[in-house]
Amino acid sequence: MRKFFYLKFKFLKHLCKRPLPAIASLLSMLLLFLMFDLVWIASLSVDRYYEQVLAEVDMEIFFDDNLPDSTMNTITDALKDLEGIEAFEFISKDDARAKLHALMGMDLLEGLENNPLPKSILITFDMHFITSTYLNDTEVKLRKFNGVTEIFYPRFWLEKAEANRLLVSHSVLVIGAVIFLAAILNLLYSVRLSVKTYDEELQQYRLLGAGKMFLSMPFIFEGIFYSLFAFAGGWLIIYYGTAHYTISNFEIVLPPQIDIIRACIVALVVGMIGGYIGVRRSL
Amino acid sequence: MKQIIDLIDISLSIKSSGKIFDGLTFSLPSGGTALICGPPNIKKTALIELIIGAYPPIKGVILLFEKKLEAKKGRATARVRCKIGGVGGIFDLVSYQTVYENIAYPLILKSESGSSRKKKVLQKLTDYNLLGKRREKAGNLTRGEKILAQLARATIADQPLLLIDEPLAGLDSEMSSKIIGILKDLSVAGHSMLILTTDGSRLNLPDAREYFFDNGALK
Repeated sequence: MRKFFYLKFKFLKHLCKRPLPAIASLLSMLLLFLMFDLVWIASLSVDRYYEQVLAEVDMEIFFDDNLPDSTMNTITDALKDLEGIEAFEFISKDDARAKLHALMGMDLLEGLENNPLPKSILITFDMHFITSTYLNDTEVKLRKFNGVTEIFYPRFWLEKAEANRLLVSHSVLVIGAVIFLAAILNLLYSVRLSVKTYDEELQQYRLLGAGKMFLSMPFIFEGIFYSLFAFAGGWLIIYYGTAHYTISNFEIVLPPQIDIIRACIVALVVGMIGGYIGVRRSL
Repeated sequence: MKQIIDLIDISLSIKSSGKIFDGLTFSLPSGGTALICGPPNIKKTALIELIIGAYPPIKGVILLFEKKLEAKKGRATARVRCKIGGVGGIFDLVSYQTVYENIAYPLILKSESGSSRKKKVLQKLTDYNLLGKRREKAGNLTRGEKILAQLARATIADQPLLLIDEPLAGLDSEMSSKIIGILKDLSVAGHSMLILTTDGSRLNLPDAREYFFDNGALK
């Protein structure tokens, strides 16, 4: 415990003796973590936006006019058994005409002898099942029923949206990895610079019997300090920003607290690794 | 009798200097003093570096405190070094630290409490007439004061073995007498000492065995 207090004191002394390099390291780490946080928030917000848009995706099945009611019942029973279907609504020819009327503000079919609009079923899906693969499978299943003339859902849009989401998540992974690598390198060289300042001390203390771990600890603490304070600083800026500024028409999504705590642990590990690698070569 | 240092048939080569020791055998009993004499620049210091495990020998065995020293085992080497007090040569003071901080370090490694540390360091500073210099940066000390501070550091944690490299080099006669007096006291107090010097006759320590370093061996 005495040694621990000594090491803590030693690390604080390192910081106080070199305030400008310490501030420079802290600020560069703060910028890196802030960048990571912004990328993280941007990806979550984009994801939420896509979720909101995807929630409006539905599928409409159009039927032949001569389809008997018994077949229609079979189809609705089959729909009840399908996984992922949240609700479905039967739209008769008359309902379709009424909807068109409501949509256009006038009855476009007035004067026609017969209602040319087909009867249909509008299916809404559970959010987790709205994927191009699942909707495609559902379409294949539904096409097997007699009397189904057309099935419509925004397939190509959905595929594009999925590809974009994937691109965003991959980009976040790559950018996140690059930022964390940059953070480790930044820490490593900050600590190495600090080690260079205390090189004489380290060499003498080794001769006096100080172990490698004992000598490394103040520098590992230094790495952890830069990393954790920069991480906390980044989130303080973000919380301050979100509390005082809002973007209209776009919801900013912050990560859940548990994920922030996990990221904080990662930042701590980054600090430890950066500090350890920074000092290792000199011992 | 218990041997503090036991070097058995040691051969040592260093890249920059070539072969330094060849078949070196040497032992220092507990409480004994050995003077290793020889002209300057014949790598006498390598003997100290060998003993503290800085260089692994090509051949032979090093026994320190009756335990085999293996230079590659860092933790074991660090434990052994805690029992050794070094003065001169490779053992220098940290120039930007105060005399107090330099002397206190072996006690930190022994996990001594702050109050005990302070008491011991102040006592040592008083004994070696360095109390007025305790807040002085070590880099500002004279050569003689540095040797005194190093001796204080080398003995503060009751290190049983002292490795001393050219303790009188560059000192005036007054300071030399002071250092010789301290070394005599340490010898009488039972510290085992290995002293490297160019002129052993100047030291005149009681019961000291004198060796001459010649062609990689001690005679």
